[in-house]
Amino acid sequence: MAKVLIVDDEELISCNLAAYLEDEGLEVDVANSAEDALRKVETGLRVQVCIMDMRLPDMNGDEACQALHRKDPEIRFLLHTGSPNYAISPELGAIGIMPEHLYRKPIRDMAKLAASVRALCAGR
Amino acid sequence: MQRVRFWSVDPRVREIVNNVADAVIAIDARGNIELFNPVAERLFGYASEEVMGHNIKLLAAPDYSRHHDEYIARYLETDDPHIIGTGREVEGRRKDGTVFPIYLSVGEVKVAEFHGFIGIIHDLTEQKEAEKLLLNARTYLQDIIDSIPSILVGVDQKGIITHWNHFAAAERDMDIREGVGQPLVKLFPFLEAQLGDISHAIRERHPVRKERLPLQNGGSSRVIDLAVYPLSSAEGLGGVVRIDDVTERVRIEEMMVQTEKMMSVGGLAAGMAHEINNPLGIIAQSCQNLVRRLSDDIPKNREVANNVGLDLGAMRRYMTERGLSQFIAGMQEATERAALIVTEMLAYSRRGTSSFVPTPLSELVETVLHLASHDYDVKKNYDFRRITIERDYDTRSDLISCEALAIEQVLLNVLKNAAQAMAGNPHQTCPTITLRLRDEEQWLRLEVIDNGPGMSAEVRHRLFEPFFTTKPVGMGTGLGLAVAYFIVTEQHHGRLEVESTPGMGSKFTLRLPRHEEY
Repeated sequence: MAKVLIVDDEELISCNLAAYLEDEGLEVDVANSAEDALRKVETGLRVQVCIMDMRLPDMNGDEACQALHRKDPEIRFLLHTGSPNYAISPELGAIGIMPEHLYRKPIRDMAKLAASVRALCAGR
Repeated sequence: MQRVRFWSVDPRVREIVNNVADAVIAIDARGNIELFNPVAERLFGYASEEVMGHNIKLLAAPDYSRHHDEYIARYLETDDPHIIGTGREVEGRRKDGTVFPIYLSVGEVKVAEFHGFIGIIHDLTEQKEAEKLLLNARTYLQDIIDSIPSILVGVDQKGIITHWNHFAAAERDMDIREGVGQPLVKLFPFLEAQLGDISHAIRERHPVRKERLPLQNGGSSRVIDLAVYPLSSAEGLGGVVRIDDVTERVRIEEMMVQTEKMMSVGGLAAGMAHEINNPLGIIAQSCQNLVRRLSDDIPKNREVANNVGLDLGAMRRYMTERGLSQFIAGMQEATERAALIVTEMLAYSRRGTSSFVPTPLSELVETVLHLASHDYDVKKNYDFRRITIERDYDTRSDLISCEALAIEQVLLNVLKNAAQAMAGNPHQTCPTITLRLRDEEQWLRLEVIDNGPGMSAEVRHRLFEPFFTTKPVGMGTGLGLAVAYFIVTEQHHGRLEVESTPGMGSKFTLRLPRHEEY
């Protein structure tokens, strides 16, 4: 089963995304900070797709994605941000993150997000 | 020697002549010098022996000298005394050729067989210097008060103008010499209401300052600062009235206050958006999860419901009966609306000159007019197609560097505002919008003039404020003109201003900077 890691400091966001994705039959884990996420990966959590909030208390989402990528280059990312003006940085572009991987809060229909997760899991 | 004989008659006469403080020169009827006293020697720089027997013309400035023979001849022929017995200012000439001012009085001398004239000459050089200094000082003072860019008027206690400066005269379109002696209020009628304060200030010798006095002067309104300074050293009482036209400054200040308000909202918007979007996300996604987990499509739902002894079908019927599904739909819709407001606020507070392209403004106008004519909105009760559009374009070029889509947004918001305003004025039978395009030094200026109901000063002052709206709740976000203002001032470094007279219509003036010649 595909493993999804949701990184967000807003617990209600993670829990809602997790609920939806679980209902979609995906296996979901949650981290509430970048450090938390990195520790999980370091201690052996196998993640296929990471849904990353771009503003975290300990590190910004940009750096967190790069750090996770260094730990495990197989992880694919979806970005989740509350800042409407956010644009994908060249560094994240370099690790394969494209504009279609960017989700702006509030997500009106999580079905699209679920479809993106499946596509990334399928290597698309 | 005739001259020696005559002047030697009485040594006392010679003694007197030699000791007077002014130059004394005697000539005979032909104009030849007979007597030249020591002061004359000092004044003209000649020794007595050098000039004796020479014509007096030697000592006169060229202009005067040329005519001197005629003067004497005329007198001898006509007996017209002219200068004789009186005096006047003329110019003398020294040995070194320099010309200097003198006061010359001439008397006639007739003694025995001698007939001649005696001249007493007073050196006016110092007096003239002093007069010149005084004049210079006066001119200098006048220059100073003329260079002050305020209206300055000196008045006596009766309010009669004793002095005024260049700006004061220019205000009245008069020559600076004309105003003196006239009543202050005759030349500055708008001071009528202030006259009490002015005379009080002068009488009590206590300065008065009044700031930002609004004046209605015909059609235009102005704002002035007025100050009255009593003159303590003047003979009698008097004072100086100073008037500064601060209309422009007040207007700029108002604009700055407004801009500052905008900026703070713009700055807030970016931070706020993130903070709002998170909870909005929670609400939106919670709703979606609620709906989904109440359906029996998902096996897990059925399984858990079964475990707790819940009939999902009955549950859904209950939700419909009690309107719970509608409540959830309402939450979702409200979330969408809130998210839209945040997006709109942000979209227009962002800075940047990403896609500035030289674009003909008139083309943007046409695009927007086309858009607007298809934007018939029953709810807002206006039909753009009912409005007559008049185009008054007179520019050497209307190419302007701008972000075309953003400026279209500005024009659309301004035009919609005009259309909505005119719809609110049922008495206007021929609603017209005039679009006037003009060059203006470093700007391209577009005026959007409507003949709608106009607006009060209070509405006008708040017009560009975000969330300020005169429309009923739900009819407008109050962001349209604020957004337009942002785009013009922040993104394009232009200006957006409004003038309006209630009952007469409104005029929006858009100025975009010309960065280069096209």
